[in-house]
Order: sequence, then C-alpha cells, then structure tokens
Amino acid sequence: MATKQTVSADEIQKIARLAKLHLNEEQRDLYAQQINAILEHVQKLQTLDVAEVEPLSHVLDLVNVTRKDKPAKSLPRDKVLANAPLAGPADDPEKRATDGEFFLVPKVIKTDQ
Amino acid sequence: MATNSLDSIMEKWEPVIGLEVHAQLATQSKIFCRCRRTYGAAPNSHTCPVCLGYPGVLPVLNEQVVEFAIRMGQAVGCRVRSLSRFARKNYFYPDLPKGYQISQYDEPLCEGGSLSFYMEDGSVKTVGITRIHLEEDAGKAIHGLEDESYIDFNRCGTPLVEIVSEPDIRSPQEARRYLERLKQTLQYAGVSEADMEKGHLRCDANISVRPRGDGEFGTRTEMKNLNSFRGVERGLAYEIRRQVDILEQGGEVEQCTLTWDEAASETHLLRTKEEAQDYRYFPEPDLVPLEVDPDWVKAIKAELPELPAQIEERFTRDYNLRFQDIEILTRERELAAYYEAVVDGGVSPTEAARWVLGEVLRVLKEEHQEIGEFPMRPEALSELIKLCSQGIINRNTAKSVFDIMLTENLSAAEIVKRDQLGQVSDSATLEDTVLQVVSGLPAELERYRKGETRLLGFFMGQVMQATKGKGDPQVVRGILQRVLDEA
Repeated sequence: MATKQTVSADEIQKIARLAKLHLNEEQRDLYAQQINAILEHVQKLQTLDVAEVEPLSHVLDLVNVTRKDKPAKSLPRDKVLANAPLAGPADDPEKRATDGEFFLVPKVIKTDQ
Repeated sequence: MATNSLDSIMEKWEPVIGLEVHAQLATQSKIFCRCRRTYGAAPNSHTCPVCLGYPGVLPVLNEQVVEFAIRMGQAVGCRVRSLSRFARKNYFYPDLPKGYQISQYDEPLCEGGSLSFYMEDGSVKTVGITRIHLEEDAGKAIHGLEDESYIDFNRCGTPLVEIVSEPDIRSPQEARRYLERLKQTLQYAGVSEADMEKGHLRCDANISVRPRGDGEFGTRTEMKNLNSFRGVERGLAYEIRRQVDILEQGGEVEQCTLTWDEAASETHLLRTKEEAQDYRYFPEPDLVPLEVDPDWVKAIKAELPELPAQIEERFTRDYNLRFQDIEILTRERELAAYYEAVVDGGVSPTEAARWVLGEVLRVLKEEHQEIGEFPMRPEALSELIKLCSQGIINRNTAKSVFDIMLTENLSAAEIVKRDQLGQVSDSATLEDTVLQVVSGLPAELERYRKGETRLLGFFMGQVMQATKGKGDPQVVRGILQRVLDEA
C-alpha cells in the first residue's frame, strides 16, 4: 500500500500562482485540507484491482467527432470588441480596452508560448 | 564573445541540436471552429465564440487537419497512432484567450520518421523525426511604442503541426538544410504553404555542446524565435560560441530558455530553469479521442504526391544533371514543374537547365518574383531554346530575344523575324564581310602575319560587329582563320 499522499501549503501556493489566484493564508490552509481529503479518497480507489478494466480518457463512449473543412461567417468585429475588458478611466467608466481594431492590453514582453 | 572562427571551435566541440518546427496547415477553416484561416485580414475580423474561448462553447475537430497531418507523417515515414488524444497545455498570455492551448501530449498523432537531405558537399544527412502532433495557434500580439500591446485574435485556432526532430543535427548548416528540406517537404506534400515570411513556419531549437568524441550530452538550452533560414544558422552559431566560451573558461552552461533577436544578432534570456513553466497538461475534456482507420492511412499514403527525394532521384536518372543544379531546380515544386515543361517542349535537359538556372532565376531574383508569376510560358522558352540550338540565332541574340519576350507578347520566332535577328551562316555572304573587314585593317593584318596570332579575337569582334551580331560565330571563325592564314 502506497504511503499517504499530502499536499503542502507551499504546493497550494504554487498551484494558485500558476492559476493566477491570490489566496490568503486562511484560504490556502482550507484548500490544502480539502485537496488532501480528495487525494486520500483517490488513494482508497487505488487499492481496487482494475487489471481487467480499460483506461478511460473520456466519459463519453465516442471517438472521431469531426467536421468538414467548410468556413462559415465569423462574428462582426464590433460585436467581438464590445466584449473587450472595461478600461475604466475615471472620466469614462464604460470605456472598453480597444481602439476599434485591436484589443488593448498592458504591454507584455513575450515570455512564453 | 570569442573571436575564434566557428570552424576552429567545431574542431574541438560538437554541437547537438534538435529542432521543433511549427507549421500552419493549408486548410480553409480553423482547427476547432469554422472561422476562415486568413493572413493579413483586418484585425479581429475572423473570430467567433469558439476561438475567442467563450465559456460554454465546444471545439469540433476539422477532419482536413487530421488528413494533412497524416499526409505529412507519411511523407517523412512516421507511424500513425491508431488512437491519439488531445491535451490542454495551461498558461496565461494575452494572445491566448482560453488560458490554455489545445495540443497533444503523450499520445501524438504521428511518431518515428526521418528526413534526408543533401549537404553542400553532396553528402546525405538523415535526421530522425520524433513526433508530429496537432495543436492550435495563438493570436498575435503587437507591442506598441507606449505601454500597450495590441491583440489580434485572427490567428487563434489556426491549425498547426509541431514537428519534433531527434537531437541528430550537428551544425548550424545542418539545421538550416533540415529546415529547408522540411519546408520543401511540407510544400511538395501540399499540406502547408510554409512561407516563413508569413509565419507559416516557425522554429525553436534545443542545443548543447560536448567535447568531440564525448558520448554524453552537455546541458542544453532552448532557443526560440529562429524564424528564418538565416536566423536558424546565425542564432545557433551564436549560441554554440556562447556555450563553448563558458565551458572553456571552466564554467557550466545553465539550463535556460533564450530568444533570438535577429535584428540585434544576439540572444535574450527568457527564463532560467527555476522559472521553467509548469503547463499542467491534462486530457482535453472537450474533445473525444481520435481513432484513425489504418485503411485511411494507406489511402493517404497511396495518394502522396511526388516528394523531394523522389523528384531528385528522377531528375538524376532522366536528365543527368549535376546534383547542385537538381537541388536548385527542385527546391520548389513549381520551378521543377516549369523546368520539366521546358524539357517536354523538345529541348535537351542540359540546355533547359542552363536557361532556367541562368536567365529565368536571374529575372525572378531581379523582379522579386515567384515562378508562378513569371510571365513567360515554358513552351515559349522551349521554342526560343530550339531556335538557338538549331543555329537560327546565336546565344547572345537569344538572350536579347528572351528579354524582349518578357515585355512583349510575341513568340521567339516572331521577334527574330520582326527584328531580322536570324543568324547568318551562309558562307558566301560571311566570306564577303570577312574580306571587307580584313582589307580595311592592313596594319593589324601585317602584325597577325608576323606572328601576333592573338589578334584573331580582335578580327572576330570586328567581323561580328559588321554582321550586327548575327554571324554564326563558328562559320565566321573558320572563314576568318583561312583568310588570315592565306599568305
């Protein structure tokens, strides 16, 4: 039987950082506790003999849901840009972060892809 | 930076390089939605809730994408997995609206192929292909001068294959040739336009160096943004020098990710090992597994167009050309087809190669044209070459006619007739001209007869001028030689 798996508060912090979530100490401890409870349950499942069971990668018993390579109309640009985030300057709180062509974001230097 | 030449560095050190190439597939629509795949369209004019990553939408796989990827796999001898799956690669960046990229991870569509190509010395190099998997492209971020970046999501969801090589590449030149061959293969297979200037083909590299003769790999770094043939060669050479410099000074290469800055000809550090990304891959719940029928793979294989290695072999066998010439003629499928059409017009393969490699490529280069835009039809060029090889016009005249044909919609024969360019090979006429020219140059004739025989060239020039360039040089030379030598 495998040793008991636990997730530390530090690991919770790391996962939160990757998901761009800001957790306070209380939340961090709470999530560590909850996730550990889930891991414990999974460990219980791991004691089952599944030698005869095919691994499942998808809950639907389907393969090859595809479509033909036929283009269709895209959304009108004004509709698309209407969903740009609120830019929110004090004098114009309804302003969206767009110049009418592009979405505008704070300048980023590419660190990944 | 070291001032040693790369050659002298390479005598002691051996680079070990693997390339990851992303190629956009030439479909009509995107990979998971029906937005049109575009280039240069108005920003954000080809997007929809699926490629913009709105909640509650479902991606549906474009089957043409699968066919193209299998076709490319077959072109480089890969196995196709009977069952493959999609995975989510999680990271945040403004050009990725979903916050994850749909890719493939541990079950890629194609595995285990290889690509062979000629090096400049005529040797053949083979590089293993580890895998080819499917994924979607991200949008495009344009960095403004102020503190804003501009995001265009048109490219989001463009189908990509990522082609990963084995670490079999041993020099920047080999890396360049591999990339050229890959581009050529993508184009011959008809799966990608593979235009690097349009970003259809993008290249990253993993690179390490080790002392020659050493079996173990050194610590590798990852280089991004090697997005031109020149960039691949120069960027890798730069990184080899950097790593060798560190090692020769007793240091250790640090595992990191760098980006090549082509304009500045240097690399910038993107992140160190400690900052390495954790993509938290997991099976994509929105897509069901992809099961590939072996009969479909067989059918795709059977219908593969002629590939670069095959056309090279055929040209070698049928046309008996130098491998350097074959390499240039077959680099693009359209140029190879043009060349063959010229040959089929009834001219010798050697003559056709001389004209296509010489005059045609010269004009394409001068005019910055692709062969598809070249105004002269191959049959028209065949006709011109035939006039030349039949001796109706000489080679210099033929070159002038070639230039006229580019601007005027006339056949070679029509131009020769209109401008009275036909070569004069009638001995009697030419003999008259020769006698006239020679008798007008008594001093030179005297010197020639006293042994200054190199003046033959001077007399040739004078006679050719007198015939306005139309004299058959061989006939003229024969007559001239006889007249001059008559004591």
